[in-house]
Amino acid sequence: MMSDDTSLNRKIYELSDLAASLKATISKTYQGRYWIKAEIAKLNFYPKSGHCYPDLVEKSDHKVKAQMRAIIWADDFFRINQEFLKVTNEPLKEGIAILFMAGITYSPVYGLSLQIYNIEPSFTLGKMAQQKNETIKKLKEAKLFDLNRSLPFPKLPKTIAIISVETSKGYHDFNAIMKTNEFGFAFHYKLFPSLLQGDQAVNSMLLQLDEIRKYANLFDAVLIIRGGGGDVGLSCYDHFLLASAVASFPIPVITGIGHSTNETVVEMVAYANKITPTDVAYFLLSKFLVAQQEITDSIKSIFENSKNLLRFKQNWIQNISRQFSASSTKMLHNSYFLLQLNSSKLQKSIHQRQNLERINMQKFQGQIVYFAENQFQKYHSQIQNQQTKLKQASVFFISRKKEQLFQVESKLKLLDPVNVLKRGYSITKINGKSLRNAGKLSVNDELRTILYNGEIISIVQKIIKNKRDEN
Amino acid sequence: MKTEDSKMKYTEAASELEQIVQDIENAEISVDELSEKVKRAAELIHFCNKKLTQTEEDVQKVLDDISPLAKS
Repeated sequence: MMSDDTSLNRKIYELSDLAASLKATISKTYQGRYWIKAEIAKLNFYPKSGHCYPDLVEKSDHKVKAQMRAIIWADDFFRINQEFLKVTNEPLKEGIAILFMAGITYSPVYGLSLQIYNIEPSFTLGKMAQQKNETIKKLKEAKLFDLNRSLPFPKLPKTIAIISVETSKGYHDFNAIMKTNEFGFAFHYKLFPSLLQGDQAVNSMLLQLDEIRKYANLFDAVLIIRGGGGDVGLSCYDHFLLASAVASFPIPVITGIGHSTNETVVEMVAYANKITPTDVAYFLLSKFLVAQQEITDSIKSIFENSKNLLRFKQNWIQNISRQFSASSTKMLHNSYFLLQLNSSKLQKSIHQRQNLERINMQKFQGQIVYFAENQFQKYHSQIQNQQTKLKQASVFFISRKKEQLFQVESKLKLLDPVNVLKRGYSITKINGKSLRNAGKLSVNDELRTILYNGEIISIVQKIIKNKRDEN
Repeated sequence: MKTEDSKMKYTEAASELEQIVQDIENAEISVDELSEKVKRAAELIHFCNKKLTQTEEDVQKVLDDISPLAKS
């Protein structure tokens, strides 16, 4: 077994010697069974033999701190896996944390490994719940959690993308209800086949969601429906990537995953979660029914309100015409009344005016008579006055003339040739005219000489002239 | 906007219809407009009913042309 290398003074061992020594040391040191926690990095299940050789790791910040191989023998694996499924609804699989009881074995051929005798599923369940909570927390922090649910839902979800499996019972149920619905509603749909449970489902659904996203403006909603698959392998719906893809999807996502376990994160963030595909179908049909009811209501409302509107307008016209006739009658009546009022006012004022004029006239008449009488008296007295004056003047005038006449008479008396003749003077005439100029006499002219008590006729014998003027 | 336009969305038609219903309800339209509006409403109702109960060839064709990824 051991041999000496004398030339170099070294001790050389066979590999099996070392292995045997390790095996002895390990089995002596680690005799018991230990509870250990680790993550299954790889399951390495061999269905043929039923044995399982998981690779276990412990990571810290994505770095491997420790790694070890484990063995679960077929009998143990069957029992452990059943128990695990029952409690967690998930089979043993990669990526989950487990708490297990193991012994440490060393095989010279296979090396160090942990032989797992038992796994505590509640530990994993707790870890899963913790992960789910973390997923929810992350979605909320990223403000994604309520995004899909706050999208407006189309009035008529008519064109639908379906993530499901053609052969699944859920898809079949959905189809049966939608296609043969009693209301005759028609819709378009497109199936995007995908795994719906298990580890591969996350990627599979993500790929189809990406595909649908390319046609997002064509579709009204996305359905994720599954049925008859039991409650196993649904932790994919708690996966952060899938949940965030659903939450941030541009059109509403409706889930009908059909299970009886707690609501998964995808169902929480989806626009609506309807448990079963049948419920999803009824949900969509109800939207159609609501739309149809709205149309029916609209028809009814339009009919009723148009009728009312027309009736209202008719009433309005009737009222207006009634009002028109009433107000025109009233207006005519008013005008007539006004006219009457004015005419009586006019009559009254004419009458008043007449009276006034009459009074004025009477007043004027009186005044005129008064003035006339007055004037007349004035003239009368003037005339009397003048009469008196005239009388006086006449008397005066006559007496003066008498006096003048008397004087003239007296003078005349004085001038009377008789008187002169009495005093001895005579008047000599020729041819009937007084003779004053001796010059005009001729001898033999007959002269007539008038004396106081007779006349003498004589003939001129001689003419003696004196110096006095001839005229 | 015409109902013959296949691009017209149900939502648009429904909201236009709703507006007409509201206008008539509130008596905000004249009698002149009424018959026009009622005619338009009838068109929209016909369009909406058609949307509810008939599949559209062009939409179906587009859907048929989409080849979703094979089940992975």
